[in-house]
Amino acid sequence: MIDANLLRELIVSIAYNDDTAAYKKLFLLYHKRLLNFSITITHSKQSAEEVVSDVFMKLWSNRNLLPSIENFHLYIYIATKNFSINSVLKEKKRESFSLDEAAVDTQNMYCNPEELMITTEMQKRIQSAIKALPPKCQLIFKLIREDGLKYKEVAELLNLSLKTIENQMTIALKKISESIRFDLSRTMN
Amino acid sequence: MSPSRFWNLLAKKIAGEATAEELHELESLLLANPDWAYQSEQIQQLWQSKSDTNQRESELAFEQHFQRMKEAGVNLPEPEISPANSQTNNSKRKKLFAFSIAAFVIFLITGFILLNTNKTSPVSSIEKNYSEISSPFGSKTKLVLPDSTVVWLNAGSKLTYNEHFGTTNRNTILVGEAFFDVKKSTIPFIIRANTIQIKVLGTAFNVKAYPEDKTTETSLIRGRVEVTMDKRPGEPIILKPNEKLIVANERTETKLNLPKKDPKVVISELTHIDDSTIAETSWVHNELIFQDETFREIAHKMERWYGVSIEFKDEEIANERLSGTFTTETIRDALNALEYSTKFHYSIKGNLVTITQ
Repeated sequence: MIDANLLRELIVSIAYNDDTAAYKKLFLLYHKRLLNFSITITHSKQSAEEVVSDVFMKLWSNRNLLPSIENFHLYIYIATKNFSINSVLKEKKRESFSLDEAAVDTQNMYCNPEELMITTEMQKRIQSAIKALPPKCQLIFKLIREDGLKYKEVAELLNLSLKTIENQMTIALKKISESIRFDLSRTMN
Repeated sequence: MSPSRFWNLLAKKIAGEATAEELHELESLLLANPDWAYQSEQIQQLWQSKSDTNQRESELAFEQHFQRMKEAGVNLPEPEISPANSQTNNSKRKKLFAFSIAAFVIFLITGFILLNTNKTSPVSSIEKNYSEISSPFGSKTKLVLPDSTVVWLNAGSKLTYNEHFGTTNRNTILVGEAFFDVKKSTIPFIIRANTIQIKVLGTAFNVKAYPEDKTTETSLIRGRVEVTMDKRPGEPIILKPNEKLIVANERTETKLNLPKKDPKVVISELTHIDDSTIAETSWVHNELIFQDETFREIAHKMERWYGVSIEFKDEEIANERLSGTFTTETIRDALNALEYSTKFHYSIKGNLVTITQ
């Protein structure tokens, strides 16, 4: 999760002091998250890298306006989404973008089974339960858990209703819990 | 109750979206269905488990990004010397000396004057159309403006407002330091202070704008303020509670001596000394607090606080960093206490304090 105070400090220093070190810090904070988010749309790591770079280039040239943005965290995700869709359309890979085609990378979603005191077998089952979720559901789950976005923000970012976000989160948790229940019954045998 | 409702509520809980009632409902659902406890516990742990935070890939990506910007003709200076970095290092710097004096001295009211607006005889100047209230060195003034806004003026400060204040406008000019508790109204309350303008509707905040200081500080306690710098019209910064905005005062001499060394604008959190004391507004409650500041900076505060002049005969002492709290000590008590933490001598002649090695 990104510390809101740190974010404010960086943004103000970039905007008013032309602070390149703060700009680099901001890049490092967001690079991986935005890259992963962009890949869900572009389906290409190379294109996503370009998208993130373009977003940050735009950010630098419009740095004067950054402090007046109410919700920077949401803003940078929306910018990444728009740049990603443009990239897809420009390369004419696909005609349009649909959430049902989202390619969510769940590979590093849970990387530390030792810390969790669960068996690697169960870890695998949880992973595959997440993988089996519909793309839209995976994306929403990931944006809320990994990217620290609020339900309302995800709704705005993906042009969905708040109800849809709630429902998708309910589905995600239900499916994951089923994979845990399965494990419990097996260990008892 | 359907299990769906349970997972819906649990999702809200771990995402930080649940209301108090929803948390309560979740609790009772769990009590009624103890077999959900294990999964619920596991999911909560999973949620908190950290993902890979390897930054090397991002570092490489930044280098490429930096290259791309260069190619696109965007001139980005090398990120070597950073104002933001030096700022964080500064605050982390080990405090060389820390001392604190409890309020063991009898409550000496060192010129703490409480004034009501009707008691203040507004100094009518050249044209009789504005009021000016000032707080002399060594004292503080509390006043209530015509719109019921309460203002505490710190020592050596001056607040000016015009005759239409409270009816058509709420414009003020501040020289020095003041704490404002602004009465809510549709007329914006505007403060001009050094090179910034602060606009609020109803809120509590502190403005420190002594012309002789290096910076102008706006500290927000509650509500919302909008700060606009003269150099950046139309691009206000909206402060949130518990934030402090520090803007460097542009002075020709410092500009010549120190080209671009200090950052021009910094935003940070307020300094909480304990649960009930905030350093930025402590003066309102008769406390002089300084944290990791140079003796010279502290001397400026003491000059205003005690209404004296302080002169340093030794540069090294002036640059010592100190922390401490004074409440009602006399200037002699304060200097004696400082003598414990760093070696120096002082002499007082009338209003002049001389610090020597």
